[in-house]
Amino acid sequence: MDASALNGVGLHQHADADLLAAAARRDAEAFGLLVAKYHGLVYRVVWRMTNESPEAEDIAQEAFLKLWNNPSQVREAGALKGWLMRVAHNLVMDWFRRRPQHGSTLVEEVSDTRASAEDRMGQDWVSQRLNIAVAQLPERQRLALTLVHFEQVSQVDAAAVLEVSVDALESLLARARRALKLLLTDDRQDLLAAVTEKD
Amino acid sequence: MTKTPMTDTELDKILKSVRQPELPKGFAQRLQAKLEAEPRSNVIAFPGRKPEPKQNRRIWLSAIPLVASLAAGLYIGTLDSIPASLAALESTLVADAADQTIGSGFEDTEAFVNGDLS
Repeated sequence: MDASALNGVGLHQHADADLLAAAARRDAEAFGLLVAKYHGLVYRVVWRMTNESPEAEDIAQEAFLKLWNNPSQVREAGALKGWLMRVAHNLVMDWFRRRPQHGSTLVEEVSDTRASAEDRMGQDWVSQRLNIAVAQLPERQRLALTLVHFEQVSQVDAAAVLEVSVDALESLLARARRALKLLLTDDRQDLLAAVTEKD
Repeated sequence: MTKTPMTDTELDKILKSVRQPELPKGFAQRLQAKLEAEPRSNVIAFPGRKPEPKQNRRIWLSAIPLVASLAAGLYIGTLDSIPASLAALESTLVADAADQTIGSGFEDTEAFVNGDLS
């Protein structure tokens, strides 16, 4: 694969269908364009689902390897984005199962939220605090929230990734939001102050 | 002191402000190396072929007399007259049937009432 193909130039000039067809013919450059188009999304979803694990990169790359090895698994080019997210999610679930202890590394490793008043003003602290809260959500709620709120995936597409109805997705989102509000209540004032400061 | 619960608007504001992770540097190069090391599968997955159900020979064996009688019927139907052997068989069957008295059972009722249980 030509690494220059991953620099993002002209990504939107190519339709997924053309790129997928070319990749099926083992066209590395076309596949590079596909990777460049979706690697950010896949990596971010995996990163959040694995609670910021350093292994997120390997898992995200594994999703693309699966596509490269068998592009015919994607029946419609329009479904490629959803297929990648579903595969990435399944790989994360496999990764969780392989781990000796199924738990949240982020919560265990970065559980000290007692930052100083000065530290609490930064956007980094807001992100960190939110990420810790998100990491405590059950996996399906976390995925629903990640897709809809952080990746702006439509509810229909997110429901397809989770293989549930849109109603079920809305229920997952509502529960995730309710849980987040509870988890963030203690730091509500500081979070809002930091967010307002940024604005 | 009761804490003020967070509202949906406040949560949305916080969610929007979150910093997204950046792709690790060298992601593409490392993926490229993995792709080059990966032997591509040449297996093309076809839809699974359903195993054919085993033919049951007995079904065909039982069909033989049916087919034979149908063929015989058709053959006889095409003849102008019934063969002599069949005509003789027919008259024998008709005569046998005429000899038999087919009772309905009601004939014995009177004898039964009169005490004849034989």
